Parts: sequence; structure tokens; C-alpha cells
Amino acid sequence: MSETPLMNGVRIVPTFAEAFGMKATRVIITAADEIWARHAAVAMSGFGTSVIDCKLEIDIECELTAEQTPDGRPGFALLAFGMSGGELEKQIIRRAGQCVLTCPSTALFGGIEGEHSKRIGLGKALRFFGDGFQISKVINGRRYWRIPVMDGEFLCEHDVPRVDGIGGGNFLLIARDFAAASLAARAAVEAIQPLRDVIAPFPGGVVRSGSKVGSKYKTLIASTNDAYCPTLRGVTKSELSAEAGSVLEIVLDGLTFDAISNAMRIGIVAACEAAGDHGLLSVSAGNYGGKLGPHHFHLTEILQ
Amino acid sequence: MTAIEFQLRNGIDDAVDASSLRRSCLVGLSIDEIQQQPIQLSGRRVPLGEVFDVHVDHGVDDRLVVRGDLENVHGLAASHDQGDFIIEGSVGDYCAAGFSGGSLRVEGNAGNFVGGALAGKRTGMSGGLVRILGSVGSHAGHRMRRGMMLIEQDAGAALAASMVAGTIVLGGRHATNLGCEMKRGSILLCGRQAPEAFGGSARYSGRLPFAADFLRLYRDPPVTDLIQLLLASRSVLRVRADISSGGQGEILFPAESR
Repeated sequence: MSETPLMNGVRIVPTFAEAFGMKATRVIITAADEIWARHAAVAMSGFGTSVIDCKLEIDIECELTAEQTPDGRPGFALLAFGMSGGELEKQIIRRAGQCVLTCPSTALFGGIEGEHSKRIGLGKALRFFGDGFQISKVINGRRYWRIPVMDGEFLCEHDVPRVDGIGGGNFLLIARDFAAASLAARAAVEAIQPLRDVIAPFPGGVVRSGSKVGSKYKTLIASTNDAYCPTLRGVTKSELSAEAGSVLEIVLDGLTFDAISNAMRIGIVAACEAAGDHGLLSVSAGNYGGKLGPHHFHLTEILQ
Repeated sequence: MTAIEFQLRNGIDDAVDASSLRRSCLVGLSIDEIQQQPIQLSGRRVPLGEVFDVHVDHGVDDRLVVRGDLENVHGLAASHDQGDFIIEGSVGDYCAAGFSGGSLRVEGNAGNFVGGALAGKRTGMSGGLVRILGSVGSHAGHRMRRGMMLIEQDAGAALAASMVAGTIVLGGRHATNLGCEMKRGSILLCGRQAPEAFGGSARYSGRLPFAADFLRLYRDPPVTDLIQLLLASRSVLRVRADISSGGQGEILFPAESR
């Protein structure tokens, strides 16, 4: 224990986060003003915390100024991750149709630049809502659909790139009590929030119900991470010390290994600085022994 | 990468059908082989070298350049599919017929049926960017299916006749029968229109205000230069055409021009 590094008095457990390959895309929602754009972005990213049951992990990546969007209007960039290309496409189209197409004044574009052969047919699928009155336009080599709706036209890019991403980067904030864990988690998420190419899809960027693979119940593929539940000390093989009373987890999905690694580093540093003197005891990470996920984020290496 | 330049020989006054002068057929040939390619001069099949002086430049941008008094040279840039095609001067009929990709710049006027259908074909231009710095004759964009045509000055009769899709931007005035038998596609009229334009014809729907949000996606010149009047307009009007034949094409123009 004494050899483990400390950061502002917080012990950094010499372990690693284990993450998986996912399929990812970025979409850009614009609207007549920031308010409508935000409504659409919030709706589209709702119920998108975990692929376990949401089938998609999606969140707002950043807000965009009018100068940063394809049509010169304010907007938001969202990152979405799925376990397969087919599932990602299925879920993105459903959300675009129900949350963006429906929202006043919005338009929808791809947000990943460069040539990518793998595509997700967004407007390609949504155009049929136009019932034959839709109009296709190729502008600067990209195809768009103009779908007539009651406030004018819904402008939607025909298809958007699909790329490889990484899901499941994580770190655990182990604290004396909930107040300390919450303080640390909020500081970490606030520090991560401005970063590009990465999202923390859980509510407020934080998850309390960390899970392990499998369950005693055959119908469940995941169940509570009993080793980090303070109330289960004494009845299960716990990873928590006697003084640990609350654990919160930050889960990160990113477009690259470096994006997640950087976000973990910045988040952990912020958490330790904010809560090291207020009850944050240690920082750990979730893994499955390195046998399931190919991407390993070693905490001590990240923080060097 | 090869640049091939053609200079119309002096004394060629007869009509030339230059539709066989295609990048896809010429790239990779030696200058002698290019000069031996067949071309139609007043209905006679002659070697290309009898009509044009040819210059080949390897290792530069992929492009074809044609120079000279070309008003009697027809079918230039027909079936062009990639790279740049530049015509330095005014050109005859059927320029860019069957055009499918790349770009064309005509530094002068063009005759009839710019971007129209090749003989025996059902569809006209199907992709790419055709830019005419001057005016065009009748039936420009005839049966056009895809791509963009920029006409910086005036257009003759039946612009976009039987147009299927694509976009035509007109900087100047149009003549009669605009968009006749038009199925779909967009015509952006950026110049000033006559007050009576589109009135009293069964071909056009009524003029209605239209939020042309998609115009904001055009970010680069020369398109933005030409549609500046539309982009800057307080209000854009739209009519649909040709409704007399069930068409859903659209004609956009600034409200200020009425």
C-alpha cells in the first residue's frame, strides 16, 4: 500500500481500466437559435447511457457557434457509440427521426471529416417522411435531403461517417462519504466536459451503479459491482477499506485511445485537487482481468 | 496527371462535332495517337490533328484546355467525367452534353443545349459543375439529372426544359418557357426578373415566400458569388414548375426583383 502513488493525499491504485472497441459517429444538430438546438440535442442524447439496455451510448460533446456549423447556425455536436455498426445505425436513425426531425427549425449533419467508406444512412432513411415531396441536393460533394415539415424544411445529410471508437474507459472515485465522492465526481466531469472526442454518457457524467459482467440471474448480462458496494462489505469479497463509504464512477467513450487517456488524466487530477482534502480516499478503475477488452488504461501510466 | 491543350487551327470554318474529344479516351495516349483520333468535320470523319493543334503536358493537374474561335465547334466537354475542362472562348451547341463529373469553365458564351442529352440518350448532364461565364442559348440544362450549372449572364428560351434534378443558377435574365416540362430540380434566379415573371401561366404555381435554408450550405465561390443576391435577400420567393405536367421543380428568386 505504501508504494502506491499519492495525488493530493489520494491513493492511486495501480490498476487499469479495461475498454472495448465500439462503432462511433458524430452528428451536428443546428437550429434557428441555441434554445431549439439544445432541445433537440438533449432529446437525442436522452436514455443513452449504456449499451447494456439503451443500445446506444450518446451524449453532447460540445456546443458549437454559428461559425463552426455547416449551415452557419448555432448547434451542438453529439458523439454516439454502439456495439456494432448495424446497431449504431439503427439507433441513430430512430433518435434522429424522433428527436431532431420533430424539433422546430433543426437540421442534422455529419460531424466527422475525411473520407470514410463506412456510412450511416441518416437522410437516406428519414427522407421517406417527405412522402415524395422531399428534395435531394448535392452541395460541395455531400448529399442532403430537404424534407418538407410544418415550419419549413428539415435539412438532413444523406449519410454520415462511421468510425471505430472505444467505450468503457473509466475510473472509480472511492470516498469516505457521498458528499466527498460527489464533490470529486463533479470536479472530474467539469474538467472533462470541454474536451473533444470524448463523452461521459451517464447522468451528469457519473454512474453509481457500476456493474460486473454476468449475474446469478440468467436473464441478466450485468449486475451490481458488489466488490465496490460499501453495504456489501462482510458478505462479499470487497475491494473497499473500512473507511470507504461511497464510490462513484466516471465512464468515458472516445474516438481514440489518446482522447480517453487524456480525459481520464484530467478528470482524476481535478477530482484529487477538489476532494483530496475533503474525503476522497483513492482512485481505482474497473477491469475484467484484461481478458475481455483490448484497450487498457493504466492509471499510474496515465498520470505520469 | 496530364494536361492536354487543343488550339483550333486557323481556317476551320465548318461545323466540328467535338463530342469525341473526351478525357477518358485521350489520357495515356501519345501526342501522335491523340492527333490520329477521329473527329467529325462537317460530317466527315477526319483525324483530330487536322482540326486542332495538340499540346500535351505531363505531370501537371489533370485537365483539358480548348482554345480558339469555337462557336462552330459543338459537343465540347460532352461526357466529361473527371478533372477540369476549360474552354477559352465562346463555344457552339451541346457543350457539356452528358456531362457526369469534374468541372467545366467556359470563358465566353455557349450555344444551345448546354448540359443537355447526347444524341440518343434520355438524360442530360448527370453530375459535376458546369460554369458558363457568358450567356447560353436555348434549352440549357435540357433533361438535366444531377450536378450544378452556373450561368453568369443570360439564358435563352426553355432553360431547364424537362429537367429531372440538379441545380441551375442564373445570374442574368431568362427567356420564355423557363422550366417547361420540368420534373424536379432547382433553378436559382439571381438576377433581376421582370415584374410579370411567372404570372398568368399554368406552368407555374403562385409565388410564395420561402425560407431557403439550404442555400447557407454553399460556402465556396463561384457559387456564393453568384447567389449573393439570394443570400442577401430579405425574402426569397418560390414557384413550383412545371405543375401543368405534374412537376415538382422549384424556381427561387429574390423578392426584391419583382
